[in-house]
Amino acid sequence: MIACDGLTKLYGDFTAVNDLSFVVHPGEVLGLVGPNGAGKTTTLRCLAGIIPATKGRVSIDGHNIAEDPLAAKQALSFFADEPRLFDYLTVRQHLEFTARLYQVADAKERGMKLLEDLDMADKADLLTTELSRGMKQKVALACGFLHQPRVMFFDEPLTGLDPLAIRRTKDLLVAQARERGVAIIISSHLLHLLEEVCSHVLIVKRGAKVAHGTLAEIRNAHNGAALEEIFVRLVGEDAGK
Amino acid sequence: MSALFYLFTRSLANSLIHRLKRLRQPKYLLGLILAGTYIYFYFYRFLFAEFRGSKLIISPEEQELWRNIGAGLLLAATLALSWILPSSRATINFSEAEIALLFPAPITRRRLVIFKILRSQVALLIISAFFTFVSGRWRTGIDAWTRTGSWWIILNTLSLHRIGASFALSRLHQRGLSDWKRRLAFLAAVAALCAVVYYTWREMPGLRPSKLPKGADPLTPYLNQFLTAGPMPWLLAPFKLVVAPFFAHGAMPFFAALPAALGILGLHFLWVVRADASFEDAAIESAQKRSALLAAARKGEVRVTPETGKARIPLFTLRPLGPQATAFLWKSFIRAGGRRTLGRWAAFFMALAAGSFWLSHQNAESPTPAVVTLSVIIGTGCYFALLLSFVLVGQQAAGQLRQGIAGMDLLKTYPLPGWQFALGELLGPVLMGTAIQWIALSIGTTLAITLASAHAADAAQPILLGAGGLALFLPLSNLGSAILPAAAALAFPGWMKPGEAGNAAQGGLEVMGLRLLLGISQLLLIALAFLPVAFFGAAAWFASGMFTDVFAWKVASVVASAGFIVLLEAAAGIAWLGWLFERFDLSGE
Repeated sequence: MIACDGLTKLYGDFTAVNDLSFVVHPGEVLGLVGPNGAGKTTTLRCLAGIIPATKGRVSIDGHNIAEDPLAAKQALSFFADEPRLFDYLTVRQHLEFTARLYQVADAKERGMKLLEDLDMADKADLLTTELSRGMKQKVALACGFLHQPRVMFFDEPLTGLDPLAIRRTKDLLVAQARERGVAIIISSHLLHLLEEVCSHVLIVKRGAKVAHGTLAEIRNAHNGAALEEIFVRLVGEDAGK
Repeated sequence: MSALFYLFTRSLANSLIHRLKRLRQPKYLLGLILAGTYIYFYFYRFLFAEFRGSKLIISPEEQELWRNIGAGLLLAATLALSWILPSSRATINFSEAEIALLFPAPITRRRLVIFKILRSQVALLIISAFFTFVSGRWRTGIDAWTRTGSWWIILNTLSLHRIGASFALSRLHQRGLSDWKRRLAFLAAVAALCAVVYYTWREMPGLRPSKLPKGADPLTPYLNQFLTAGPMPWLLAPFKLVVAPFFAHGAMPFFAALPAALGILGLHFLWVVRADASFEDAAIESAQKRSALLAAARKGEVRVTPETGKARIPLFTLRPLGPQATAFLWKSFIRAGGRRTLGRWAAFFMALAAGSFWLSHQNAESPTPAVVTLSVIIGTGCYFALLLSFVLVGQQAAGQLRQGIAGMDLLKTYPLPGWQFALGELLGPVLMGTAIQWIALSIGTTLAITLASAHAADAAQPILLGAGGLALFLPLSNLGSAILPAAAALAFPGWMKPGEAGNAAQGGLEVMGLRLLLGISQLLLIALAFLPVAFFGAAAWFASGMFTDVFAWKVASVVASAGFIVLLEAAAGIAWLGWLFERFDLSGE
């Protein structure tokens, strides 16, 4: 479960995130939506403990990220928009390295299963420099899934992927939420895709919450309009900036 | 052409404005002041201030000799850089933005080439000025300016010749001449040239030292005779014209030599501009490679070529459970090349050690002057390398940790205490550096013992004890000297961004100053950290002297107390680094 209470992040005088509060329960997928510069990435980075929040409290699977960061981080995975991999390690070596960091005892079996699920088993001994962007994204997913996190954060996970890879990634996310009860937050500009994947939506504008609820609740509040239409109405002049 | 001129002038102006704006940040201003001061005191005042020393007076014969040597060097550089080493691809570098904007635009190939040549002039002028600083400290006043002009002509001619040659090679390649065939052909031509030169030298009348005035240098006239015999004058003639302004002393000789040099430069310009060779494919490939290297530099990795090749075999199997620091150590060994590369290095060092032990045996059994001299050279080299490594190993380890910081947003999501990251990142380079130090120490010590034993029978024991103490002390001292620069990277990340202080390409004077400042601060901090070690070591020496006169016990007590202090400093340093890592705020960057 992800619990965020009064999260605020300041960069000097600039407020990037302003008093955000919400909860994502196990099995829920929250779509974090907002125009460029609305504070989506900053929010995700604060939630994952990459940067400290200026104010507020973040709890990951019951662990306060500021007070007990190791336990909180053991329960989460963060997927950046650009997969961060080491050029001189193979796919298998990435999994071995990750396993040691997260102390995954049965990493060998889990790793191979993950690679098979991601159609990467035959690429296990290749350097990541030999992989396409989509394949690198799969390696990042395999590393992130290896320790079976209870919470996942995705920052623009589908950027640069081909339609087939988008479909597979989407199915994987849904499976993680439905089958394993993982709490997931996805930040993306692909609104039609979020409509397919997310159970909840949080729309932010200039760091503050402008709408939050299940997809049905938000649609009902706006006469059944599509998410794109709702986004344009709520974000108004900020959209497209 | 006006659009290209606009692009050229605006790029130059914007780059200058960006650098000027950057000076609002204190670190860059301080860097500029430091670099400016350094350049003024080290180079500039020698060049343009009133000269106080005695002027170098060179005879006309020596001037002619230097011109010939300069022409010979230029000939060798031209052959190697333009015709033998490069591949058969038309070489002209464009940035990715230039490729995206200019290649699809309605601009002729010839105009693109002219644009690139004009654009390269700024860099060539800067390099010429730098070479003048380095090579012209004995020149003053007008000579400094003429030297800058001379360097500009030489570098431009070389650069244009390289582009022209690459166009010509590209055409030959398209007509079926492979790289290896071409290299063989040029090497055959060079061999034929050498044969002619050798024949000339053989036929040349020998120089009789008895005919020279007493005390005269016999080499200068001999070299002059050689460089002016047979086909040599013809061969060197065009190159002598290019280097003539460089060796001209005074304004008048310089201006007299200028037209011929500029004429050759002009001919090169016409050759390149009229070539109309297809360079687009090679330019795109080259831009992609440079872009990959730049991306790696921004991630904090220093590479000469983009990362390619085979997967590397780990040095040991990484089990999933255990201290997390080991994962970083395991990664370090893979990064250093894995089992294959490290195995090759180990074999090389073992062969070196075996050779040295054989030498040491020869010294003991039948010492000849040659064996003794060789032993002295190798032994001194080992101790000198050891001395250098005191700074280098720590710097290398700190550099690796800095590169780790470049991927901080990923590291920050790992559930590991900061000290495990710090220890793991530093441990790999420290262990590898220590292994090399131990080998150098053992070779140096073995040779030193056999050499010293020839003069004093009881020399072996103190040398062996000293070396043993140093061997124990080295890993700790390496770790200690790595901690301070690594802490500086974590405490002042803005000052130590990879690809900034570490990469002069993005630089300018201010970044050069920043590097100077970092280097000086690190040396000072390392010296400061060694003060308590030296104090406690000395205290142990004197304290043990009160109880025993046995040298071995005294050394042991020094090593134990100094080692203990270094160990304490290292442990405290790792804990401190871990604390800095955990508090490292990416949002401040």
